[in-house]
Amino acid sequence: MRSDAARDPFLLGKMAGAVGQGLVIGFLLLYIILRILGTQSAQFLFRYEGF
Amino acid sequence: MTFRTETLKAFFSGLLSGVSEPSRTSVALFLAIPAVLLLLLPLVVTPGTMAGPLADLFCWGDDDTYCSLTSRALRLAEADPSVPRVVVVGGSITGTMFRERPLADAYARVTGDSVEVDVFTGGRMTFWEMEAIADLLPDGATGVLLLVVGPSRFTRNAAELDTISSSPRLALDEDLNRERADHGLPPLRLSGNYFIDNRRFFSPRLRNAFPNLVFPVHPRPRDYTVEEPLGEKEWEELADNVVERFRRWPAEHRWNGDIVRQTVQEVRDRTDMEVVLVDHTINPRFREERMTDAFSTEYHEYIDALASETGVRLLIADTLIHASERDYYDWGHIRNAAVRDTLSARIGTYLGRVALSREE
Repeated sequence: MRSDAARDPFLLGKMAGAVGQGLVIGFLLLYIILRILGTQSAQFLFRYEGF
Repeated sequence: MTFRTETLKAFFSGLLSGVSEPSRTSVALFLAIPAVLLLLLPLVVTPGTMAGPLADLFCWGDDDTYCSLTSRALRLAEADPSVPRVVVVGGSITGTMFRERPLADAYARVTGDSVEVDVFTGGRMTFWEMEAIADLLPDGATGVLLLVVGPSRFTRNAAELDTISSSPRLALDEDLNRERADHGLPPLRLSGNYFIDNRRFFSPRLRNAFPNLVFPVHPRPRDYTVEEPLGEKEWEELADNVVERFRRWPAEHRWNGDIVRQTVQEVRDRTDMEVVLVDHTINPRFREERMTDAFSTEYHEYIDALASETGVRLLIADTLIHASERDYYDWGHIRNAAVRDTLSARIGTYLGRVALSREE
């Protein structure tokens, strides 16, 4: 596959595109998970801060 | 030339196809990224990480002082115990009372020795949080620990203990289970892993790592010297709020005092530090208008007795300065930089004398 990709620019581009898509969606997914995990505590933090 | 154009065209056509069509590679990657990073966190996020510059990645913004406090307190744990230091721990009013340089200079003028000054303060800090910071003093540490107290600090209740342990503002790996049990709260389950045990601190903050990588934040305490005093309406509201806290004094002050006793005992057991209780500054207008003589007397008698019982010195900050209403932002936060520097220097002189008297 890798040697095919090295010879075929279309295949190389397709792999780069798939990796890019995976990275973007992966980090987006992680960000959404962290937002959901943290929402409740975050609301508390802002309420509790102050003098 | 033609070959290169054709190659590029084919590459970008492939790129478009790879981006627009789901594939095994992209699915595997986007499932693997959150899974691997979430699994790595307990291994990567350690007290050492939080003591370093990466700690800022987890901060909410420039006003997230508890985040930087965590980092600085963990650095304190690694400090050289033989270097004498003045460690100040207290709430936000404490933050407006101390500046490191004038204190260190005044101390050096009296003793001829230099001293490191570390000020750990945060808005409405509780005695549990102060104890957690004091617990990080290295074994055998030398110098002075200033525990800054005030009437409001003794009014915290068990509901707040539950809040600060279930949604902590500090990630100090502090086991609050003993205090929780004393107040009938269920114990927290601890794993022994720093990240997992402090997950309640990290979970809301982890998402900040992405934006903070691009736009770094540098938390620092609020600077009251650039503030105008509160307007009349805000003053009244805040004063009402503080007086409302004082109503909890009869029910809550004793066991808050117990935490101070416990902190003093633990610091004595592990270090060679002198502990000094400091009563924080209060705006003379607030004292006159909102604190009854009976309450003031009861409060001062209580902290006096607390200092005597624990065998520590008691310093009343208001006796060291002559400040007017305009020198304060509100009921106790000093906004006049000259008053703050004078107070810091006088406390430095006092501590210098304490150090000399210990040597004699």
